[in-house]
This record gives sequence, structure tokens and C-alpha cells, in this order.
Amino acid sequence: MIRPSDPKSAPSLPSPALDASGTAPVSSRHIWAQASARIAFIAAVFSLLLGAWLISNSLHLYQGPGNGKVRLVEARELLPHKTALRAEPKNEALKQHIRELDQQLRHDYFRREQLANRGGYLLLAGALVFVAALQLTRHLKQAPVPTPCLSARPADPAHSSRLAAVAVTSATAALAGFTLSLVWNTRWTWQNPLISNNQSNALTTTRIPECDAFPDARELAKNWPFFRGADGSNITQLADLPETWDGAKNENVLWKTGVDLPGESSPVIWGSRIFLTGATKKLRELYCFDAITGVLSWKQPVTTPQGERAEAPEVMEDTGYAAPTAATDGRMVFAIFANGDIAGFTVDGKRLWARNLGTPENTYGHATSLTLWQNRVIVVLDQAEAKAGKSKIMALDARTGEAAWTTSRPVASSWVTPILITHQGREQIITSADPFVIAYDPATGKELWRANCMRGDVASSPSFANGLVYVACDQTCIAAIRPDGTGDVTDTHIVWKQQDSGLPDLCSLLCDGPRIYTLVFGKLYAFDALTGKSLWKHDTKALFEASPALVNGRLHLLSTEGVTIIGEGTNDGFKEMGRAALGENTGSSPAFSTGRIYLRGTSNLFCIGTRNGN
Amino acid sequence: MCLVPALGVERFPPPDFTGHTLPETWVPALDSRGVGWLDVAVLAAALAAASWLSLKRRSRHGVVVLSLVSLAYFGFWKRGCVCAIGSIQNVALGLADPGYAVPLTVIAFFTLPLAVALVWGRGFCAGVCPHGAIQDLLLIKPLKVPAWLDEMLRIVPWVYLALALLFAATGSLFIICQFDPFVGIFRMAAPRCMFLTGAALLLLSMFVGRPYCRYLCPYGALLGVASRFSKWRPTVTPDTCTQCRLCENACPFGALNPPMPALHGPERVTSGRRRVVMLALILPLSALIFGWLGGRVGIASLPLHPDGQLATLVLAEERGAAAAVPPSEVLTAFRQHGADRTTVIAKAKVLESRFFLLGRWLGAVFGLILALKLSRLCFPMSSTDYTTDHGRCVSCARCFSTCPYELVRRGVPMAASTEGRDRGE
Repeated sequence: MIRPSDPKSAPSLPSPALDASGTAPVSSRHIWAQASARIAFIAAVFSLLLGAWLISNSLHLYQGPGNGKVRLVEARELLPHKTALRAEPKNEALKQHIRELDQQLRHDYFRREQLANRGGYLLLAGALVFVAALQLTRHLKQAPVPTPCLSARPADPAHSSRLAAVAVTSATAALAGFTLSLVWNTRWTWQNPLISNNQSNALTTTRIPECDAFPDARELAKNWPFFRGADGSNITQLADLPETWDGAKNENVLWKTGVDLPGESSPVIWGSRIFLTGATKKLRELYCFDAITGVLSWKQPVTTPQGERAEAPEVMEDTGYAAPTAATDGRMVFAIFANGDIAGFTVDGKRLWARNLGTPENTYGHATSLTLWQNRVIVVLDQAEAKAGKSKIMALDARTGEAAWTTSRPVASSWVTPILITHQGREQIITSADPFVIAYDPATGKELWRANCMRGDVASSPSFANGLVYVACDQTCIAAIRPDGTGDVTDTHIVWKQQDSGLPDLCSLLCDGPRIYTLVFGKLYAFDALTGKSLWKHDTKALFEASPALVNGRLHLLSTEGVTIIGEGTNDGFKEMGRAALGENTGSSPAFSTGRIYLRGTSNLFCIGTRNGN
Repeated sequence: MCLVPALGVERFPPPDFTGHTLPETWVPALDSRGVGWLDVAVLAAALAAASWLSLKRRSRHGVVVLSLVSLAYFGFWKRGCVCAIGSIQNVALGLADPGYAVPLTVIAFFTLPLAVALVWGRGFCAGVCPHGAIQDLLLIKPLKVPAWLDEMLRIVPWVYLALALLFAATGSLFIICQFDPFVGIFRMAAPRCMFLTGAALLLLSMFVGRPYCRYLCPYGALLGVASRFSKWRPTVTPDTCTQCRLCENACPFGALNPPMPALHGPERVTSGRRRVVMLALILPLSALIFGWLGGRVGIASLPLHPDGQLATLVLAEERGAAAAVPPSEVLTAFRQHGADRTTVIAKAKVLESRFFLLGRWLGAVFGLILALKLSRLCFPMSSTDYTTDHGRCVSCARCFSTCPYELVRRGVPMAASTEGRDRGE
């Protein structure tokens, strides 16, 4: 078989017949082609004009949200009349006018819609005519036999193929890279945040490296990180704090900011951040305020993890659902509420974990605040009767919320916030409840010693001074215990007991070194800290829920009416220096930082300070 | 503007101060089974006619007429549904989810064109598919797409197919239907963006032959594979190719392969060895890379599934990113109904593993296809004649009339005879 490689050997093509003058006659095919081209042109112009009109009509119909619906309902023409009708609801003439206008608008709308509908079909028909005419023109102009197009050399297929391979490889690599960049960071870490179950219902989110570190005692002492300060003593040596203010007149009030949800919890401070909690029966929130401006930096809800069934307990109105104070170590902040919900956040408000520890069975409502030891959150959950065996103390990993240890406590419900002390090189968590004062090793949760000396509703948090742990309750005694024992130290380490008077019910006791102060129903009592001997009592004519504080040697007694009584206590008595009113009732204890006192009222968080202060 | 008829009845509140009551909405009755099977019968008949017209009759006019009929029936009359392209998803979901029953008619729509392609090539594309027909009929001034660009864009249908299978098999989305550019035109109703996409594609198809079929259609990718194994295929010449080059530019779809000189002797051996080495290297490598990538894409696609979306929204909210999460009806409904979070997360975990595995498999298959394509491009098969690319030829019968022997066969008078030409007789 011979394959002609020379194009010249291809079959020759029919040539159109020429007339005598050498020009081709105008064939009917050509005439039809011209006519068809004109039809195509007319159809194109028609379609373009119709298309433009339809677009304009469509814009009129569908402008605004809701595809025209909103436009019709809120038509500018109707709005002024509807506004007028609100002022004159019985104006029948106006109603009639609105009816007519509304009908007119609807009529106009549907007319346009009908036109658009018909126009759409007309456009389709125009487009079809255009395409058909164009195709016909093309067909008629086409030579009856193929025209050779042999001037160009055929492309080298092998080269084209190689080029295509390069293009495909490049495109695929680009596609893969682009896809990878889109999906690279997509991971669904189901186990991390809040999944909980009965065995271990705390889970971490992403680990934040800076949260692995924890502050030392010195760093803690510079701030007010827990309830009653870093050491739980409620004592500050800060010297530049104001002693006069008036919340109602904004005197020495640097700022006050409303708090969304109520709470009896107290503010805690780290650097320029103030943390506070608030809750109702259904909602629980943690707030962070800017200490300088008072602006709410963030707030985060604390929700019960799904799968947990935490029922909101019935609590006493004075206790509320946010009585426990938050705790912070400057990296993270933690909050617990009356229903047992507890959560950890970074100080920037990113939630690290949340869990529910079970609704505490507590007559008045859970009020024990959190405290921290290294990277652990110490939680005391005293509940029910002692014999029920439901009370416990836990140390949760601050980064994950997982329990590092849990120790059952043989005590009944209490409202005492534990303190952390170091005595003779031994770190201890001191707790107080009916009937035992118990010390625990914060590393392991093992009980170190216990003293049987408390009864009834124990709410006063302990203090540590003079090498002694001071505890109190309203039904038995104020006691001083040496914290160097082991086992049951009831008979061996209780240095003194004071059982006669001045036994605090709500307010924690305060020890300034030589003296112990307690607040009972408006009366301030003083006792010798080394012997327990009663020194004096002073009637303040006020009622208290907040714990007394000592500010640079002066007592600050914050009454439920929001009046802070400032004075000096000596062995001889109490000398009142002045009173400063907040203007709001309060049950929270104050927090202190350089030049500023933070007080929580029923509605606002106040920053007390002098304008020329630090 | 053509979308108006699609809008529902309850578009407006009742007029003020009237006793007007809104008309009750009604749902049109479903087609009876007989109608479904009638569609299948029409499909079968159209496929047979398309194959007969393109292979036996070699009639472009016949194919055009069939295209018009198919466009009218499957496009505007049946409003683009059911269609073979979308049936991929039903079949994928049916295979992946035993609880999903695929109607037999849909299976027929999926399998019939493929079966025909295995025997007679892409007759479905020639004159049965309304998507192809509407583009083909609009083609006025075809521009030649450079080979490198053509090859590059032909990857897209495979990506589209892989994604469609992934989303359909996991019960997430039917993206082929959701993003079908022409259904809106057939129904005279579509979201505005899809309508504009369809219009843009139609405009493009006046100058680029069948852009959707070549560079997007996932079913076309499958038909292309099936067609490569077909027993009878369209050929440009009804006789012997003389390499006159008259057909060189006849195919507007880039489905005509020019002659490729064969290698001989040592060159052929070396090329063969290189091909084997290349395949041995890039086949597993490509499958691994794209398999891995497919797994990642699968995991990232989880929120496209309603359960996955709910779980990820729940997670985002619980992680304190609620502010970053837009208000979601899904989440609100979840909260209001007090559904169990553990169940939601458990479902999402199962779903995640399905997405991952399916994504991995589909990615690996895509990698294999890509490697084979590269191998074909680097080591093209030799041929002596102008031949149709069996995978890409849509049997439109355009090229036939460019062959002088075809003209002879049709009895077109030629000015010069073909005498003296050796036809090997």
C-alpha cells in the first residue's frame, strides 16, 4: 500500500464554476446565507435589548434583602403612612389610603413579575433564533467539501505531548499544594475540650505551653489571686490605699462597671486583670475586667458539659449561685459554681476545660472558694452529713481539669475556703469543717493531721500566723492548733480554745499577729492570738458578711450595706477612723492592689482609688 | 430574570387590614413508576439511535436532530432530572449506605450509557445528554485549545468526580446536582449564581467546544474510560487514511490524534524500559501522595455533613470560640431539643473515619489515574493515521465530512477523480 505523504497527492477538490467574466455567480446558497446572517443580527440585537430590559426589571424586582419581599413590605411609599397610623390607630381614611397604596404596589410588583416571566421566554426564543440563524449561516457559507489548510506545518505531536505532561504535572502540584494549604490545619480533636463521662469528665483542649509554668509564692504575693489574698490571711501591707470614698457621689471612685449576673464572690486580681464570677440558676459566667479602665475585657459562660446532668440546687438567697471566688495564677483562671460546674480558662478567656463535679448537697449553697497549689486547683466539696461520706477534697490538673488526686473527707457540709501554709518545710492544705480541722499534703492528698474541734455550720476560713493555725465556728470555739503533728492531734496540738463569746458564723477570722479579730452580728471581737484570751468587743452597729481585712495595720470592715468601717485595733480596743460608703449592698470581700481597692456591690464592681494615686 | 416561575407562593405577608388568606401550598404529585421506565426506554432508544447514527449512518445531521430531540425531552421536558451525570451520586450513596435504596430507573440511567460506551463509544455524549447537546448546538466558531491547556484542564473532571463520590457516599452533599450549571436553564429557575454560571458556560461553548463536557463533567470522565475499551468506534474515514490532513482541524473537542511516528530498534527498547521504570516509580508514589492528601481533604470535609457540622459547631462553641461561630439554626435546634452531646460526637467520630478512609481511597485512585495520564503523555502511543481519541471522541460525527472518502461514499461530486490512488487493492 502506498501512502502519499505529499499533500499534493490528496484528492483534488471541486472548484466552483466561473462565468465568462471570471467571477463566480451569486448562488442561491449565498443569498440564503446573507438572509440568515441578517436574521442572526436582528435576533442578537433583539436579545440584547430584551436582556438589558430584563436585567433592569430584575433589579427593580429583587433589590434589597428577601428577593423583593422586604422591599414591598417596607416600601418607602408605605412607611410614612404606617408610621402615621401608629400615632393615629383609628384613622380610617389613612387605613384606606394604605390599602390602596399597598394594592397598587403589589399590582405593580406582580405586573413586573409577569413581564419578567414572559420576557424570559422571549429571550430564550431570541437566543434560539440567533443561534439557529448563525449556525445556518455558517453551514451555508461552508464549502461543500473540506478546504485544505496545508500551509502550516503540523505540530510535532511528541513535543506537544511533552509540553502537556509538564503542564499537567505543574497544575497537579499546584492543586495539591493549594489543597494542602486549605486542609493542613484541620483537625477535629474530639477528646479535647469538654467531653466528659462518669469516670473522667475533664478533657483538655490544646495545651498552652505557658500554662505549664506556675508562679512562685513571691509572684503570688504581688497579686491578689485567691479569696482573701495569696495566703488567705486577708492582710495587705500596701500603704497608699484610700480611706475615704463615696460610691454614690463617685468620690475616689476611679471607675465602676456593671456586672451582668449577681454573685457573692469576691474579685481576684492578677496584674491588670480583675476576675469575677456571676450566676443565676440557669447561667454561670466568668468575667475579666481591665483593672485600669474597668472595661469588661471578656466574659465566658461556664456551661455544664453535655452528657452531665447538673441540676441547679436550691440555695439560700444570701448565698446565691456564685458564692465561691475564682482563683488565678496569672496564666489561667478557674471558677466554680453552686451546681458543681467548674472550668479553667486562660487569662485571655480561652476555655481550657470544663467539667461538672456533681451538684453539692449543701443546705445553703456551695460557697467554698478555689485555691491553687502549683499547677493544681484545690477543690473542697463538703456536703451532706459526715456519715454520708460524700465530702471530698480534690486536686485538679490546672491545664486539663483531670483529677490529680481525690481524698474523701469525714466531714459534713462546710463553707470554708482552705488555706495553703508551709510550716517547718512541710506544705499543707488546711481545711475546717464539722467536726474536723484536717491538714492534707497538697502533692498527694494524704491526710497529715486532724483535730476534732468544730461543730455545726462551719463558714469561717482558717488563718495562719505565729506558727499556729487559727480556726473558728459559731457553735464550739475559736482554736489555735500547732500544725506540726500527725494523725489525730486533738489532744496534743490544740494550743488554746476560746469557747465563750465572739464565735464567728459567716465572716472569717483575721489575725494581725498579736490579736485575733472576729465579727459576729455587728460586733467586733478581739482575742489574744497566743492565749485566746478575750480582749474586747466593739459594737459597730452594722452587719457583716464580708471577711475583715487588715490594710497597712488598719482594719477594714465591710458591712452588708456597703459601708467600710476603717479603724485601728489594739489590745485596749478599737478606734474607728472613718466610714466610707459604697452606695450598694455587698456580701463580698474586698481585693487590694497598689493604690486601689476593688469592691463588689450588688450591681457594680467598684475601683476605689485616688486620681493622683498610682 | 428567568427565575421568576420558580419562586414559591408564600412570598409576601397578607395585605394590611384585609381578610385575605394565603393560598395553601401544594406539592406536585410524584411521577409514577411508568414515567420513570418510559424515561429509561427513551434513553435506551436514544442511545441506540446515537450509536447507529454516528457509527453506521455516519450522519451529522441525524446526530443534530437527535440532540435537539434529547435536549427537548431530557432537558426542557424532564427538566434535567433524572440525568446520568447526577446518578453517579445516587449509586455511590447506595453502595456506601445500605439504608439508601437507589431506584432501578436511576441505576439504569447510570449503567446504560456506560454499557453503550463499552461497545459503541460515547453515543450518550453524541446526542442523548442534554448538557452536551445544548453546548454542541451552540458551537459556532470553535477555537483550538492548546494541547497543554487541554490536558491540564482535563484533570478537573476527575477531581470533581472524586469530590462528588466522597460527598455523596458519606451522605453529605450531591454537589453535581447542586452545582449543575444547565439545570437552571432547563427549569427556567436557579440560584442567580448558578444561572449566571450556566449562561457563561453557554457563551463559552460558542467558541470552545463543549467546555462542560471536556473540563467538568464527572460522568464524561467515566464514559471516557469505558469508551477506550469499546469494540466499535467512530473513525474519521470510512476507508483508509491517506494522511491528506483535511481532517486535521475538524474536531473542535481535541479528540483527533495526529500520526505519531513509531520508534524502532534500540530507541524503542529504551523508551519501553523508561516507561516501565516511570510507571513503577510514579504509580505508587502518586497513589501514596494523593491518597494521603485525599484523607486530609476527607477529614476537612466533615462539616459538610449535617452531623459533622453539628459536632464541629458544638466543639467550637464549647471551646469558647462561640463568638467566631456564626449563629446557627442547627446549633440552636440542638440546644433547644437537649440532644445528647456524647451521641453527636460519637456520630461525628464514625463519620470522620468514613470521610478519611473514603478520601484516602479516592485520592489514591486519582493519583493512579494521574500517573497513567502522565505516562501516556510522556510516552505517546505510535500511530500512522489520524485517529480519533477513543476516550475523548463524543461521536458527534463532525469530522466525517472532512474526509474525501466519506464524501465519495456520500456521492458528493468531486472535480477531480481519485484515480490513480493506490488503495492497496
